[in-house]
Amino acid sequence: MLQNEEFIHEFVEEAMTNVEKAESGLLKLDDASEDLEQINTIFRAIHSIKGTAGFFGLKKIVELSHSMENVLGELRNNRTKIDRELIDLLLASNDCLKGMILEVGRSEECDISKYTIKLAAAFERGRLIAEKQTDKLSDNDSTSERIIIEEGRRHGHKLYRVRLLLNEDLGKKNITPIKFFNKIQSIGNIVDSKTDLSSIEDLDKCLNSEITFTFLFTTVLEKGLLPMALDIPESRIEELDSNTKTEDLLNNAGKTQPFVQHKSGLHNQYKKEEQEKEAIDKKNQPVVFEDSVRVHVSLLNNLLNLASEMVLGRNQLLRAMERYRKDISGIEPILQNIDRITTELQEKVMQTRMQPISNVFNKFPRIIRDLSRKLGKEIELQLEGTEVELDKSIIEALGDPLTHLVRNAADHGLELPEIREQKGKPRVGRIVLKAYHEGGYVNIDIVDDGAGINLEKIKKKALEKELASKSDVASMSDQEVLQLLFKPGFSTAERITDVSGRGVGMDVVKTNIEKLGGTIEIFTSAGAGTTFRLLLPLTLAIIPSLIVEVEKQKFALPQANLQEIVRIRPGEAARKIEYVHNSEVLRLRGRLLPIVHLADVLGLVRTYKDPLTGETKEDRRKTLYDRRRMHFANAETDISNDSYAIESRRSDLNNIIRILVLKIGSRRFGVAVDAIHGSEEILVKPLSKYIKNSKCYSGVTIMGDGKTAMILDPDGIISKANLRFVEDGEDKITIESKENEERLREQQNLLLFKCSGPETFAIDLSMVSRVEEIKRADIDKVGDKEFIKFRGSSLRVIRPEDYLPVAKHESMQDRLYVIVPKLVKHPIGILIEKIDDTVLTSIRLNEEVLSAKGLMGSAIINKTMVLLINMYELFELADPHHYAAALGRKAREEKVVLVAEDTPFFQRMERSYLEGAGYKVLLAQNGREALQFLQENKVDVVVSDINMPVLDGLELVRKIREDDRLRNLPVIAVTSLTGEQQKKAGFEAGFDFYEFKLDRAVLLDRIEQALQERRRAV
Amino acid sequence: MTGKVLTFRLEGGLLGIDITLVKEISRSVEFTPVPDAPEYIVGLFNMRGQVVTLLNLMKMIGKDGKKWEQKSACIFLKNLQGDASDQVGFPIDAPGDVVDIEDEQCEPPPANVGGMEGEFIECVVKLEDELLIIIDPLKVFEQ
Repeated sequence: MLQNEEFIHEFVEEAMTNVEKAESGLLKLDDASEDLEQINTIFRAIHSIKGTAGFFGLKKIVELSHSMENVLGELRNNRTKIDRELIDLLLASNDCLKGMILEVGRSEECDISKYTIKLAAAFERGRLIAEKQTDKLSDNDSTSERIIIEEGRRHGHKLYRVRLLLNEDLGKKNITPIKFFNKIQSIGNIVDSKTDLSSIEDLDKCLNSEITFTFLFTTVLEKGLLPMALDIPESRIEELDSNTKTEDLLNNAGKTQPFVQHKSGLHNQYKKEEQEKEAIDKKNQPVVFEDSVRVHVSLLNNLLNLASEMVLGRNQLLRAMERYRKDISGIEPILQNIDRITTELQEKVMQTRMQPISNVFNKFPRIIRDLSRKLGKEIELQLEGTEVELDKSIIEALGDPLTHLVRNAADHGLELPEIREQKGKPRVGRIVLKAYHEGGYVNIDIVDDGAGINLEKIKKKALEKELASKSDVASMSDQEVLQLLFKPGFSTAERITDVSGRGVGMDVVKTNIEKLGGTIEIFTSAGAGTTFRLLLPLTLAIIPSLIVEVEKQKFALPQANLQEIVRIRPGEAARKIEYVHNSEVLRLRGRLLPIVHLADVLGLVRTYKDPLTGETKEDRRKTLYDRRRMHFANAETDISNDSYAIESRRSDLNNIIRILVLKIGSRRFGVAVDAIHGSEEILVKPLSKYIKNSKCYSGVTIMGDGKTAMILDPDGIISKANLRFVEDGEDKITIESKENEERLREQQNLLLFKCSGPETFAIDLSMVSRVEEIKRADIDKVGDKEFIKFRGSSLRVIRPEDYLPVAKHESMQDRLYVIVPKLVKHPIGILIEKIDDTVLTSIRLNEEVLSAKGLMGSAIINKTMVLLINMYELFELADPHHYAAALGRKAREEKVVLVAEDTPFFQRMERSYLEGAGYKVLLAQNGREALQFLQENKVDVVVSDINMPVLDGLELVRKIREDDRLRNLPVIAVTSLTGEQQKKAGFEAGFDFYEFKLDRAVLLDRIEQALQERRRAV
Repeated sequence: MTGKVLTFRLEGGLLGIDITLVKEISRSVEFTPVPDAPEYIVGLFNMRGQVVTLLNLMKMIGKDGKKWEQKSACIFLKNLQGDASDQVGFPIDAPGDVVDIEDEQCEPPPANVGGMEGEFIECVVKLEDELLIIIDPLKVFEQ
């Protein structure tokens, strides 16, 4: 049984690899002049296409590749000079070849004459030169086959002829002709091969009827060994006398119709030449063993599944053996070993699906080359990080969006060479494609050093196309204007060229990237260029997700869509959940968030547990609000013993409402669930056909406990729950709320809490990573230090009251909290007893009333006196070793640091850090003030906030860079704007360093570094 | 038909399927129900890394089937379509014996077994003390 599809598929796959190899080789020739190795590579690639195409009777492919091969042969022998024109011709021919291979069924219809004629002409030129140089050609009797045979004989090779029946000998063993061809090449040299297709009309049939292949080859092996080496019956092999007439070699082997022959007759008189070269080439080459194997993707997927299953099995085993670990001697190392190997196995199997990004990147040199000619621009392409690996499926899906972006960069981004020169830029425009890892994601930057995106033009266009209203545009930030590019129907090119702007626009790029679970960002700076950044997950198969529970059933929710989780305690529900007719909404930061209950969406009956009887009853209340209010109201009117039950149910902790805030595009909604079980990395499996119609699921997974769980599809939930979003209105609200957030940002977000004493403390939330709830018993004591387990390692915890001049009580409270700080090198948790509140406020800090190391001062918040903790000083007290400013104070005393910062709190913090380390500090309230200081004083380093009134940090640094005297002054941004975009914008404006508020150690490091670099520069 | 048949009890009746179609039998299966799925879906089950869809056989052949509880016995079929996500099984009350049957014991579905149900019956086997209804699972699950 022959699977003809598979044969052709294999041919196409192999030929495509070769075409690509040839293409990249040709492109390298383009700039690296005559590189013999390169020419050889191309030659081999084309030759191999010719060889394999011969089996399938693909005459046109054979003919074209043969013509190419001839020219390449001349190149290799240095008889033809490489020039751009010739490479263009070869590239064009190669493209045609690629086209024919991809459409293999129709390749015979293709008109290749325009290539073959030109190639023949090129070949002719080379040959004429050749004739002048040598008279070798006069030996007209000797054919190419003869040369290989002679060549072989000199090395002790014997000549064999193998005749194979395609079905009988190859098909049954699942060997394809191509594999067989390769097999022979691994033991000797193929002289010629022939496929007898006399009885066959077309390609499809050829694979199903009995066909004879005849191979003529030389090898050192004895006849007796060949059946074994080639895995064919001995009767198929014939040893020939190497003096047999060339014409008879193939033809006396049965039928005599040379339907397809490797060497097409077209250039018969020259082929000797080339064959000879080939023979020499082969002689000089060691047999190359492939270091890779082609494996079907489905097999890899199976392996991946099995490996994941193995992980589950391992987990179960470890759990089951936990109790016996001590009892069975020697079991411990075995378990550990299995544990480790399983993890490694899983990782390796995951890796098999990974492919280097060069698979996509490599086509761009060619695209850029074509583009630069077409557009009349000089473009240099730089590829970085080509070794970065991504899941196969992502690599495959990345081609089109990337091509689009690169074309855009070349077409719209880069200016014409003349214009570039006028602007004082190098004539040659640069496009950089850069892939790198960042935070569990792979980023791909497409950078051009062109004109940058003209924001005004975008706005104008958006208005013209009615993609946004005037008032919208006026209030948009730059980033938001850039986002307009992704609106359907947008194209910034003034005219539509055939290079880019073909109607399918950036919106498609964005959708495609989002389909992969990625996002896209734009940074642009007028005159300096534009960067498009794609952020992509490493793999599609495994996604982080949240395990949620509703009515005792667990579901996985992909975290990509999850924005935040809102917990509403019983008493608060009425305050926060409100009604529009019968629909529940939640006021979330000034916006109404529609809420659906997952149980309702899935058609599950909501239940509650009766606290009196312990029975599970159907919950007839239709809304979350009912849960709190209606029954309470009932209880008042209907004075029965029910009221007690309701009362206690109200206070039941399980009645906390947990709302997952999901966002898809601009659509935001809340999903209420019963419980949240934390996050898990899940392996997505496809839905069976029986459930495919259920909208709410996107797949199924097997969780750590071995149970299956459905993966929720937020999009499906929207349609199932009939949520209708008004897109435009939504956008506007987003913008407004963003502005609100911006405005609020310079206020301080404080976490208020109590320790064992009566004092209220506050810490700026920007310094808090998270607050962890622990039990008293979780605290381990080592000496006089206390530790807790946090994310798998131990975290030291301290009690502020031990270090600060405040009251201290023995408390037996069992539930405690630990504040885990953000952005510190040596984290220490702060152990507290009670969280009071978080407030957003601008405070007036009083440093006089209470001053002590570890405290910033006091303030009145909500009529209470609050002590603001200076976390770093506190840590310094607790852990002098890591936190003390130990470095040479003296050298620093001469150094002046200018701090531009408008928030008094941060002013004080930064000042205390810097002065503590021995610097002299100048304080400026805003950018303008800072500039003034700079004119009047000698300053060594500037530390600047970004958001400041009057003149912000970005402007400040731009002004500094413009000033001749200040140009080299190191400027460090210290900001609470933690976005990558802002960071990028910061660097573009001219900051030397960009740090987040506010890690003392990092800030001091940076200043030190800046000073050192400056010293070097001066 | 001729050959070995796996018999099982389902809602009172004695049913059988061609044993060559059976992958395995499990006596206690804990499955995950799928809310919002068609009612003939019992749930999903993780069989060594393969997600198997459990179907309600009675409902599949158009009868009123009972609601299945956890830890029921199940028959899992071999995957005949080659698509790993379409692995199926169905819960049963109790597995029975494997019996050899001969053509002469079999009769086509009687004329009065009509409609949908009849379509899925391959044949009826006259055992000594009882009738064994052989169903064609391919027809049932391929509809």
